[in-house]
Amino acid sequence: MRSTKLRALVLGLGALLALVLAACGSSSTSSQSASATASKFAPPTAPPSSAQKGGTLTVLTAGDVDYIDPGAAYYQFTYMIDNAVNRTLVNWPPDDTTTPKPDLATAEPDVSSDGKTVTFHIRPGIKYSPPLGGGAGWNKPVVAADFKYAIERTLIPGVPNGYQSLYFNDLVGYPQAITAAKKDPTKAPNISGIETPNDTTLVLHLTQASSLGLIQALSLPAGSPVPEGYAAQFDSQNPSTYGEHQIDTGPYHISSYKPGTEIALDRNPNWDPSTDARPAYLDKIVFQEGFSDTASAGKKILTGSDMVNGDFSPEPQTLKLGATQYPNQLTLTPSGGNRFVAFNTTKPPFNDINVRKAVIAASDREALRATRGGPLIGDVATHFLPPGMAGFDEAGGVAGPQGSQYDFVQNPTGDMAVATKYMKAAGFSSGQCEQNCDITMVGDNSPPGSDTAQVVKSQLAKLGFNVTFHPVDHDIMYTKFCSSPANEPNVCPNVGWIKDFNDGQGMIDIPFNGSSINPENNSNWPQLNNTAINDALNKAKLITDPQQRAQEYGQIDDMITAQAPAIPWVWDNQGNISSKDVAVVINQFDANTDVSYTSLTK
Amino acid sequence: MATASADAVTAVGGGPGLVELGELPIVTRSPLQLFWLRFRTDKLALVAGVFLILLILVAIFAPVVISIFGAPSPDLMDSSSLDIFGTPTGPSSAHFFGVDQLGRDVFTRTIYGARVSLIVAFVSTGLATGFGVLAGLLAGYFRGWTDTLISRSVDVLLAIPYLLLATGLAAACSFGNGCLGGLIKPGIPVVVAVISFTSWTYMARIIRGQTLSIREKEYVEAARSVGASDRRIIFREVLPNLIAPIIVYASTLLPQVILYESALSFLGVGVQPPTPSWGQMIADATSNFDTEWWYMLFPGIALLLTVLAFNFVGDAMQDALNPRARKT
Amino acid sequence: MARYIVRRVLWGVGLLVIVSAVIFLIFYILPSADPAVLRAGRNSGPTQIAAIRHSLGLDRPIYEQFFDYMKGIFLHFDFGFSYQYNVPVRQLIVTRLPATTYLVVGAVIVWLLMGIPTGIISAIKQRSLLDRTTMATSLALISAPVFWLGLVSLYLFAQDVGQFQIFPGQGSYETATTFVGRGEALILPWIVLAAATAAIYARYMRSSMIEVMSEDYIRTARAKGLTERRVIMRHGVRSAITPIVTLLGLDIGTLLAGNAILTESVFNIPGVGRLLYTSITRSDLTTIQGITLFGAFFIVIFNLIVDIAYAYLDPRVRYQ
Repeated sequence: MRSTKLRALVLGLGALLALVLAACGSSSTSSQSASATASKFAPPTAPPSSAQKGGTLTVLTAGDVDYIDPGAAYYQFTYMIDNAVNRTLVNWPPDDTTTPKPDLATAEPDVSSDGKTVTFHIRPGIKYSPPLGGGAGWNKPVVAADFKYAIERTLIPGVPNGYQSLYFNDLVGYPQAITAAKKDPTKAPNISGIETPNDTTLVLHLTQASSLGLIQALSLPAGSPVPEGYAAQFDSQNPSTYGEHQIDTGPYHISSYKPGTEIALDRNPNWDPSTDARPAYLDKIVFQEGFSDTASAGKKILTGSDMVNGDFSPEPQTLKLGATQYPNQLTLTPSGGNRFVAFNTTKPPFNDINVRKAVIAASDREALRATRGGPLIGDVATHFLPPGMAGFDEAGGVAGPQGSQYDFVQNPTGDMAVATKYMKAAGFSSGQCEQNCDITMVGDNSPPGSDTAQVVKSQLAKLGFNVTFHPVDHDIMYTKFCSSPANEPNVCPNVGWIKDFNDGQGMIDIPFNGSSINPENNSNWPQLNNTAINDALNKAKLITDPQQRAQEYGQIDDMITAQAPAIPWVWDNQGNISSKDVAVVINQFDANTDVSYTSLTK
Repeated sequence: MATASADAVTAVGGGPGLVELGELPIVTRSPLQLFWLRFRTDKLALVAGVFLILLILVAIFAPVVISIFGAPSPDLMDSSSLDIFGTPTGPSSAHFFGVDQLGRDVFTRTIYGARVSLIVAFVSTGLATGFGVLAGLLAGYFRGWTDTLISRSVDVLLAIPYLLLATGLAAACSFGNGCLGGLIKPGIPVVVAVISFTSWTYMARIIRGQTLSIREKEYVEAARSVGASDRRIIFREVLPNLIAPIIVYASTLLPQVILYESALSFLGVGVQPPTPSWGQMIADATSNFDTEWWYMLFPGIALLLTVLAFNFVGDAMQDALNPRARKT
Repeated sequence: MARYIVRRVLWGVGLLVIVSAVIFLIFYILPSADPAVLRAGRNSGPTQIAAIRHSLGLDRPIYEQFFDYMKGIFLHFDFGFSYQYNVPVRQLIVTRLPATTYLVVGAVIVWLLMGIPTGIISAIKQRSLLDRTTMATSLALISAPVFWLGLVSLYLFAQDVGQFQIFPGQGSYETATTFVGRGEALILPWIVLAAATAAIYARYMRSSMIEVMSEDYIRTARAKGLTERRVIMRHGVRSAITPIVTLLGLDIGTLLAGNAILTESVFNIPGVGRLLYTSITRSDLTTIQGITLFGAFFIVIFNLIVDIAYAYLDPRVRYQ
């Protein structure tokens, strides 16, 4: 049905949230009560002591993974699978969102005093699973060179990785490797800055002190080992077919993959539990795809057995059913993301800051939030850094920045008096739009995004704007319109951003730094190019003291809010639902069910 | 869509339409009078006709109708009619048919939905009929390469699954200024263009067949022998003899076009939101019809009654125009 | 005869080529998401996108791309590559054919079983209350949009959300594991999909029957003293049903291209129709294009079979 809502949560130093919006609501004090209500559905991050082995968990999903190849995977839902079948040097225990913990590395990496050299020591004797799709597989254990190859293969066009250019670009020899990959796209290029002095040592050399981002990035699926001797034959094709023949190291391995239909995970016979912190209670996990009618899938999960949701967020109706009738089967996890309505600040009428402020002031953001499920789905956003992120409190917390210069963002249900004031300041003496009132908007073609877009249209109409709404597929909305400055409409109602890691840089640098406006794949949707903000952002990323860094990003966040580049309307919670006999464990980092910790109650 | 292939509905025979002509007094009557005499004997069709006239009036005067009932405007989003989870509430004194997922009044939107259905139905049927008749006349009258070109084009179009073709075309024309240099604008014009483009083929085939036989008739020969131009023969001699099949086929096409429009809107490639359309309202309701049945039910009933009424009237017209036709 | 068949087959092949070209052109000009940008991921730079575009051959002139596309279709039965699913479109379609086949074959059986007897009875009891009710009901079924009928039937009869919980509901095909289990899951979809066509066939059958029953040889048969039952079954039905059965092929084609898509969408049946629906919402144009062509292949081949069958049955056709 039309309700396909892939949570296209792209993680990435700029992981884009592909999203949609929301709804209506209660009083203006609901921001406080929203947090309070949501806390009733706090996610469990550890298995119960009575957890037992066995059983099959069924995960219902609307769509498929973005890429079955871990080197290209970049959706939150795909991470849910990759985290169960892959092991990386460092990974995220369910309760940790700050620092990844060593997994295939024997300890935290050694970072040189100049921050430019990172050394990992690798756990010996880890074996690969039998290959997906059959065949001889790979009988040698994991060695340091497998990590080197895993990074290098993300540079070839056959492995369309979305974040390598952000995290790996400071590696010594990266530019040369890119050139080599262009010359011969069938072979992963050598990156000279990655050295493997022996089978258990991996040394990474950087051109600047950006080890923090690199180490965290190695927790992503592309950081899982891939042996060149096995994978090169698949990587020589474009697209690479390694994904369909992959060999895994996690407690589970992918035993069958039918695109768009089913993905099955079985226990990895070559996994040694003594080397892994994960309990891996379940015998089998089956991802049933094609539940595009997510409302009926949600109901099936809540009333059935052995099921959890995969790639979709529960719809308002499912949230209601869960919260009122199955409260123990619903969890809400802060996703570390925001959603906003971006104004194109480069052309009339929104090149005028007063017009932008007027529209924000006039907007009923609770009505926007209601399209996604109301207060349960999160607090109405008053700025851009989300709760839980370093700098959130410094930027004003839930209440947002205070003072009369921020009056336009302070009333979540809208304030027409303030809106009129700013319209007058923009030269419209009637308080209503008088010229350049015909504007365009490109948004999602399926709910809840299409619903949000229609609410945005009605909010703009309050000030006399006549909006032409073009509903398109979410990907097209980005690639053809909102992320393409030459074709960008006046309003992009369905954009948002999700954290890569718990750091302000990843959250606000790309979407608001003027120097990151690209002709294609642009993620600075407002095309905000403010010198003071750009300078502050460029300075802040070199700060190493966490306290000072949080302080600085909090202040920059307020500077951005003052420019009114967008209507921030929610910091969302990820809703997850499960059947009554599932002892679910949520991975806080991924905001999704962690199947390696989840068990079934008999 | 009703799979009704072109002749399907035409096959409706027998029943009330059969009139005892023998009992009529022998007086001279115009074809129109004859038609009416036969038509009015079908009581069901008369009821359906009255319903359709009312529907057209309601569609034209939708704002007035709304205000009489004190219902809100079609785009008004009443957030107080949504609960704390953002889900809509059902029929009440404030909203007779309840509200949809954005708090818009379903009664109002059902009324306004009639506008889209009727405009698309009449305009598309008109265009498809006009184009189909013209193509059929040319192919049947001139034969030769004209016929080859037109008939083969029809073959090609009929070989492409129409709903799929429509989907592609609708997507192509729904951006920016539309397609064909802005001639076809997004919204209703796109839907009309797509439906017309994929619906003229059967009409062209039928008219071509009829023209092929009429052009051999003596009166056409006669006209030709006194030097009448092709154009005159086509429009003065051939066309008037095709009025009955044209009306019959157009009247069966019309209800199918309504279903066609609703299917396109249901698939998300028809009339674009927030313009209310029945198909789209049903599509909005698909994910929650079990708990929020009201915005699935009412537009569906409106759709069913409208199509049914057009089918009844079409049947009766067919019987009245051609009482002896008992097609198989 | 052989010459006729060769001519028809040649025209069929020609038609396929033209249809492929038309479809390719339509989809070429559509404003799809750029596959290269989609593949590159969100944070890739212009150079990487250009490299991917080149490696996919998207920077070559349209005629070269068209030539390659046609070569793929006719030499390798290759309908292109879906960048949404990252698998060949052929594979997507083939894995979904069983569900669609099951749905359509079942629906055909249901509509014949419902439509033909109803038509016969209506014809025999012409103008009775039963006849009038049946014909009015059939008109109502023809008038109901299939997607709405599907939702209403689920609202009334689905085991999970229905008011009378009788039949398996949405998505139950997917979770069923056996042939019989899947059949149960398809009961509602079969009825919904067959309803409109059954109604049409009842009307066809009725008028065909009425016509046949007024023929001279029926009168002769009656005069011979055959029982009315025998007259109807042996002489009436047998000749009345022939023209209807020949329509079957064409109606199956129409069904596949129209109502089956809507039915699969409403009932969440993992068939080609729902693949199309998902592809529409996600603007996966290669897949839409592949399915459209695939559908066209079916229609052309069905037409060909019907034409040739006619030629066998009716020798006059060959010389037209």
